[in-house]
Formats: sequence, structure tokens, C-alpha cells
Amino acid sequence: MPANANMKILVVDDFQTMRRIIRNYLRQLGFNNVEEAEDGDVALEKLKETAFDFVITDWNMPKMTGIDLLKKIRAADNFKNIPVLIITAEAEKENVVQAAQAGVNDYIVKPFTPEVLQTKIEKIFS
Amino acid sequence: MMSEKITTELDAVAEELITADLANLQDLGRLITCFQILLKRVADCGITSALKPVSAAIDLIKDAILNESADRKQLLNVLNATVSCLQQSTRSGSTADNVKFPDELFLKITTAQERAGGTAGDTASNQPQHAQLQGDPNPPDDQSADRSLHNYLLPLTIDENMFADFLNEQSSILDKAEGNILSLEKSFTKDVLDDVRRIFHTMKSESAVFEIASIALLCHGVEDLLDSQPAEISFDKLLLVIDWLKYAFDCLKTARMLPDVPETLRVFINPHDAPGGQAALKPSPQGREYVINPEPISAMHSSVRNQELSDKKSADEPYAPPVDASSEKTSLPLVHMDVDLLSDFTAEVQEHIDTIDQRLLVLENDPADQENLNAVFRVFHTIKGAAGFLALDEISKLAHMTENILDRARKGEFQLSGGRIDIIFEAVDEMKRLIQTIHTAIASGSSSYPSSPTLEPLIQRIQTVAAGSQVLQQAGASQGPRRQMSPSHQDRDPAPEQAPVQNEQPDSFFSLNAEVADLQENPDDAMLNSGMHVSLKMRESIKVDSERLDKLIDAIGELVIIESMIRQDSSITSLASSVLLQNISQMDKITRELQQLAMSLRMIPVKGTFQKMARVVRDLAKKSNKKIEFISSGEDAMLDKSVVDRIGDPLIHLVRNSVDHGIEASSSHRVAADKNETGKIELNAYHKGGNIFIEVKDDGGGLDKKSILAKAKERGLTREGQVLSDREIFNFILLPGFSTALKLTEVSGRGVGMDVVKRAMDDLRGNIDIESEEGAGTTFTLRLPLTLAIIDGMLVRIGSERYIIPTLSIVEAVRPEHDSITSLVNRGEMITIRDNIIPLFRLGTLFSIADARQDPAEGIVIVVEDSGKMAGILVDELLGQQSIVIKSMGATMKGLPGVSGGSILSDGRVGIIIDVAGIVKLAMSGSLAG
Repeated sequence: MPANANMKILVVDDFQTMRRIIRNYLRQLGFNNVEEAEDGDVALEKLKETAFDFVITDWNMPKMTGIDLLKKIRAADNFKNIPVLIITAEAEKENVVQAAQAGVNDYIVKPFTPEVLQTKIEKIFS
Repeated sequence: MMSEKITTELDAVAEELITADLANLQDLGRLITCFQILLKRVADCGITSALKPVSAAIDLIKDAILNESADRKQLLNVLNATVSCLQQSTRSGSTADNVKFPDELFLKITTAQERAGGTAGDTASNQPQHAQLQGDPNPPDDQSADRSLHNYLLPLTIDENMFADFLNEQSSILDKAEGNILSLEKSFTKDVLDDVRRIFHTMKSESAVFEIASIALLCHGVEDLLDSQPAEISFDKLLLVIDWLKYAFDCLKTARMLPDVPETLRVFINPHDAPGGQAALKPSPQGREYVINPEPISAMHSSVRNQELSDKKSADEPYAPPVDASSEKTSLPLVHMDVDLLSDFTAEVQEHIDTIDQRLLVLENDPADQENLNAVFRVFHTIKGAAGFLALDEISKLAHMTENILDRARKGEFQLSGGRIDIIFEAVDEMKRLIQTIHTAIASGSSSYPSSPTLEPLIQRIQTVAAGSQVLQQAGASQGPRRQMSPSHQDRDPAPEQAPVQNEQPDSFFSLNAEVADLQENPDDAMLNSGMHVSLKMRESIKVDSERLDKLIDAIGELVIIESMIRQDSSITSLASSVLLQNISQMDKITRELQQLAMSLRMIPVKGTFQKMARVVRDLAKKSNKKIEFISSGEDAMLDKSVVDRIGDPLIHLVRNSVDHGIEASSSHRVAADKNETGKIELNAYHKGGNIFIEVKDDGGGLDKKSILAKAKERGLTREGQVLSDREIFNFILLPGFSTALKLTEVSGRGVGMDVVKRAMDDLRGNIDIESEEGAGTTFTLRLPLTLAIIDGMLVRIGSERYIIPTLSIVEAVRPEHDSITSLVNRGEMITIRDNIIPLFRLGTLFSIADARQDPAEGIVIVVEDSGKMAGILVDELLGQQSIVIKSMGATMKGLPGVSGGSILSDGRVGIIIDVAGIVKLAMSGSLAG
């Protein structure tokens, strides 16, 4: 499944500025079909409603953490194979092992540049 | 039975390995799960010997997940090898004890135990490793140029700064070890032996932390040997170890490559190699020592330091302001100029911050309230993340520091109360201010915002609070289980009742003070106190890169100039306000102090260089079969680092000459000359009159004056019948090409490459003096300036112009008599000073100064010397001696004859520094004859 510019991307982060930054980055990389969710519950709702091609989620969120969201996605019926990229802070990097075991496709460490994001997307959709 | 259960798991893992793409995170995740199941089975079946290798394999996969640049192919090989080892052992029904697991696993085990603080585990899984290392399939050839190098990857848990510091330290540590080994060779004392062993011990522990297995093993072997059989030590071998370690650390430093341990040194890796090979495989006390147990103090020391380093890194590096250090510090640019995004950010942060106050108040009453603690933590965490993207460094830094404290409180390292909660409140207030500042800047359309004056002090306070608890925690850990099990000690609150006092004093150490006081109430908590000292002491030394230091020194140089311009300004002196003059003289004093202080920052002792010489003497003496004693003194003399860096080579030349040519070839010669059979070479350093002197002294045969003179005559450097002082004769050997001629004719002179030494001294604005007595020895004395940035200069006037002559070159100044000046055909003017006829020339003529005095009897002749040649410079007047800060003249003025640089004089005018060597040369060639 190669990355195409029209793929539908869901950005999950409780912090609005972060969502905007990621959205901007994605736009720079040519992805305009982007939706946002401010927490894991909203994200799951959206995933149930429409088919997404890719989920980018923050790790540290109130209520539902990124890894819980990931686990719920992987346990879902109709969207369990959706590629997930998890955003983590340098200090939380150790958690990535856990995420890998839960089936995350890749991780990215904050702060990052659009170029790094692009490499990650290319790697996931290669 | 048990092997059956495990075979299924092994097959599953093997299958997974075949299909897995190790670059794929999902596959890596699955592999970990597989190995974890395997580990559980291994434990269930009681195959203890395989426990460590399998968990090491899991760690390796984790490393690969965390480090994207980790070598996947190698990992796959290791994992495959691990699985087949296990398969092999289960099939043969044995207990994997005799299975050779891959090296990498062993390394992983060592370092994991190292980190765990070195509890002695069972050595069973280590033992096969011995065999493995011994039987390394590709033994590298020793000393050859193409020693095989391997890429070295920094373990993920370790940051670059730490590694760089580690590498930087090693060379001086190795130098110290080398010095110790040399002195051991001379006279064996247990103290020095212990020192050496300690050095290897520390290096072993540290290398293991950085997962440099070869060095750790080598150091371990050496340490072992020093411990068990100090009598059998071969100093040559030890020195080879030092050499190789230097080379290895060099490779790591420059290329991140690790060389193989050469064959000759491999004996150290298992010292019980040849006859007792089997014995070594038994868990002997030494063999067990792979599990390294660092002394509590050093563990504490290094952890505190590591913590500091990582704090420093995370606080400064990733979020370091992208502002040029030299640019105005008070204003930071808004790099991310997406105004909408920025204002949204400030609004959102504002919103979050507003909720924090409420939560903090709850926390203050109930520090254990995890929910609020998490919420506060997350806000700072989120702010940090977003600020990182927006290049808002101040916010990022503050959020990071605060997040750190909150995170540790979250993990239960301490409770958020007293001084700690106060500091969080302060951080929130500061955050509000920062956000407000940026908000205002955006609103006014400004592209920059003023930096906060309160941020740095606050960050420091946060660090202090963090460090205080860090020490508590570290010390607690090193005290062993007793302390860890007594939470009342751990959770000791920094005395809430002292809170009002704390608020009254702006002292940034308030929290720490409270804790110190607290600790001192418990006299049996000596360990805690010493930990505190470590922490405080660590704060005292900061590594600064020399470029920044140079900038500071430059700036202070400018300050000195401008200060003296102000001080001497006529409009100031004419005001004659006594208060003003008093203040100005006070400022003058402070400026001088500042300048001296700045200069001293660059000073390092010559010790390191001297130690190198000890080694040179030792090696050369062995090579040439001479018995030589090397004595050095004054190693603590300090010199500018740039000077120290550049005297190494000239000193090696001199020392080498002393060994090769100075000390007599055979001891019988010495005995015949009534001297001690053992030759003596001394290296002394001392300060005298603002200069440093370094003497290289030997008690050998001395210079052969006759041959030197003969050679000089042959080359037309002197005429028959000319009377030359000893000094003038010896100085011939400093001329280029002179020495080689001597060598070719096999005359027992010396001075191989003495011109090189001379040139180096010239470059350093120093000079070299030779004294020699036939049969008794030779002394070379190097005179060096303490620093290259400042010279001592004589300010002279010619007409209305002023020049500076370096005091170092000046021999004397005389007022000439009319009849002492003569004009010689083809050689221009000469002046006779105490029966010496030296060339005289007029600076006024060289620099075309119209109003220079023409009558020499009215002026002053300054006699200067270079390379033993003298010349007289005629000037109008001596104005005085002063320290001159040298300024480069710029490219356009480079290479002007007779000029070496410029300086700004106290009245703000430029003074030209005379290049004495150039002038003497010009004078000798007679081209100045006028």
C-alpha cells in the first residue's frame, strides 16, 4: 500500500497547537486529506464512522493514552490493520518497545521536522 | 521432557526470525514477544544458564527498536546464533553450559549487570565467552597499519555529551597511568601500583558502561594481573597497553571506530591463558569479577555527574537558543513566524496554565494526589513538545526543567511539598510571563521578543531543588537496602515549617540548605553528606570550549584598552573630580584583575607534556642501550594552553638529542670521565619575570665547540680570527642545514633539526639559549611567554610615531657617543658597544618618518638580539614598558618587513609592534644601510 497524496489521515493529539503543526507538516508533504481528534475516544468514533488510511497519535494524552488507542485499534474488527505512527518525547522513548509489541508501525520523536515525518511515512507505506 | 516444551518455542522463534524484517518495528515487536515467551519457558524448565543469554537477546532487540541506526544484519546473526545454540543444547540434552553464545550477548550481560550495580551473578554464562574470545577467528596483526577497525555505536541510554566527556578524560587518565607505570619501573611502591590498578579498574567500569567490551576486558585483565601477580608485570607490556588504549580512544574520538586488541595484548584478556587455561574457566574470584562492583562513592559520583550531564544536555542542547552567542542576548527572535500558529499556541498554553494553579493548590495539601500530579505534568510536557516545534526555547527549557521535577515526583522519587511545590508555582508564574511576553510581541508585530531576566535564576533554582533530591536519592541507593526500605528517610520532606524562612531569603540554595541542615542532624548519615559534597563539588567545574574562552579573553582585552582610553582621556582628567578619579582608578584595578583572571583561565600545567618526555627518554634509552635517569621538576608551572600544545615537538627534539647525542654512547666513557654510569637528563620548568623557562639538561659530553666552529668557518658563517663567545658558537647549531652537516660528518656534535626547535620558539615568541661545557653536559633553556595574546613591550617614540619593541628581544639601551658610530663600506652604519661592533639602523629611515632625529647622539640605541645576532635600533625616546595586547593587522598588512603586529595603545592610537627577527635580518643583509 504505497502512500498517496489523497490518503485519509487522522491526527490524534489533545493539544490543538500540536495538531495544527502536524497538519501543517502533512500539508507541506502534500497530504491534504487530514482530520483531527482531540482524544482517543473521539479518534475511535471517527475511525468507526469513516475509513482512514493512516493514524498519527500522540503518546501522552489524558483519558486514553496513545498506546491504549493503539491497542484498541489493533483489537477492532474493521480497522485493525490501519498503520499507526506514534509520537513520543525523547524521555518516553523507552515506551516504544511496549508500543512495538502492541503493533505500532513506527514512532517519531518530538520535536521533528517535516522531512523526518516524510521518511517515516515513506517507510510505513513502502 | 523439559527440552520438548522448549523446542516448540525455539522453533517458533526460529520461524519468526526467518520471516521477520528487522527494519520493521512491528516485526521487532513480535520478536520480543516470542523471545519473552521463550524466556519464560527457559525459566520454567530451570535452564538457568540460558536465562541471561535470552534476556540479553531481548535487550538487543529493544536496542534495535530504540536505535534506528543499529546494525540489523548483525542483530539477525546474533539472534539466529542464539537460537541455534539453544537448539543445539536442547537436542544434545545438555544444559547449555558448554554452548558458545555470541559475543554480543555476553557484552550485553556485562553492561546490564554493570548498570544494575554489579551484583555477583552466576558466572556460568560468562564462561563460554572466555573460550569464544580466545578463539577469535580473525586475530588482527599487531602494529600493522591496517589494523581492522569496527564501527562503534553508542548505547542508546547514553548521550553524546557524556561520551565526549568520557573520551576527553581518558587521555589525561592514560597519561597519568603512564607516569605511574614509569615511576613503578623505577621504584616499586604499593601506593603507585594501587593507583595504576585503580585507573584500570575505573576505565574498565566506565568502558563497560559505554559497552566497549574489548577495552573493558583488556582493562579487566590488566587489573587482574596487577592484583594477583604484581611481581610478574612486564612494564613494556603495560606501556604497550597504554599505547593501544590511547590509540583506541583516539579512534573512538575521531572516527567512532574501535580497533581490535592486538595479538600481543590479548594475553591480558585472559591472564591465566597458557598453562592454566582450564583453571580460568572455573569461577575463581577473579573470573567472577566481570561483574564489576564499583565503589559506592565512585558510583555515586558518576551517577551524580551523569545526571548533571544529562540534565545539562537535555536542558541546553536540544532546545539551545538558535541565537548567535555574540548577538544581543536580551532579545530572542521569533523563528517560527507563522503568527497565527504562535498566537494560537500562546492562547492554548494560557488556557492550560490557568488550570494548573488550581491543581497545584490541591497538590500542596495532598502531595500524593496522582491525578492532579499527572495533569500538571502533562501540561508542562505538552508545552515542551509544542514549544520545541515552534523554536520557543525559553518556554521549552522551562517546561522541560519543570517536567523533570514533576516526573520524578510522579515516579515517587520524592513528594511534591515544601520547597518543591513552591518552585513549581514559580515555574507556572514564569511560564505565564513568558507566554505573555510572546503574546505581546506577536500582537505588536515584532519579530523578536525580549528574553526573560528571571528565567535563568529560576532554572538554576529548579536545578538546585532537583540536585538536592538527587543526592538524597543517590546516597540512599548506595546505602544499600536498609535505606531503600526506610521510606521515612527517602520521603523526608524538606521541612515545611521552614517554608516562610525560605520565602524570605532569595538564596537559590534554600532547599538544599534545608536538606543539609536536616542531614547533619543525623551524624550516622555521613554518606549522605559526602554525597552532598560530591554534588556541590561537581557544580564547581564547568567545561567550556576554548573558542568561547578566547572570545571572553578578546572582549576583556578590548575592555582593558577602552578602560585605559577613558582613564587617560583629557576631558576626564581635566574634570578633576576626586570622586570620579577615585572611581576610575577603582575601575582600573578591577579591569586589571579581570584581565589576569581571564588569562589564567587558559593556563594549564606543563605536566602532561613533561610526562610524555619521560616516556620518550625511557623508550629511546632502551633502544640505544643507555642507562638514563630522567628527572623532572616544576611540572605544575602553568602556561597558556596554546603554548603548551606547541612546545611538545620542540621538547621532544631536545630530549631526543640529549639521549642520542648528549649522553655518552657507552657507560665506560662516563666512568672514565669520573661520572656516574647512569646518565641524567633533567627537565625543569620555572617562572621568572613574566616568562616561563624550560630547561633540558643533560650531564653528557657537551657540545663539541671545535667541530662546530670548523663547520661554521667552512660554511662562511665566521671568519678566521674572529673572536666568538661560546654562546655565539653554540647558536650556529640553530641555523637551518647546519646540524645535518654535522651529523653527516659524524662529528660528535648534535642538533638534529635544531633549526626546527628554533623556528618553533620564534613562532611562540620565545627564544632558546644553549650552555654547554665540554665533558660536563649541555643545557638548553627555552624562554617562553606565558601567553600568546599579550607581550611585554617597550614603547618607543620616533618623531611623532610610536612603536613597540618586544621586551624579550631587548638586550640593552644605550645613548651612543658620536665616535662610537662608524660607517663601513657595504655594511652601512655600525655602532661599537663595549668592543662589539654591531649594525645600527634607523627605524625612521625604514618607516620613512620625516621628523625623526638625525643625530644618533640625541637618541637612544636599543640593542636587540635574535638568534645570537645583535643589532642596534635608533629611536628618539623610550616611553616605557607595558603589557601589549596583540591585535592581528589583517591580511592587507601581512608580511610587511619589520612589522609583526599591531596593538591599540592607551590613548586609542595604533602602535606597530616591531618584528625584531626581521629587522636583524635586514640589518645583517646591509640593505638598510643608509
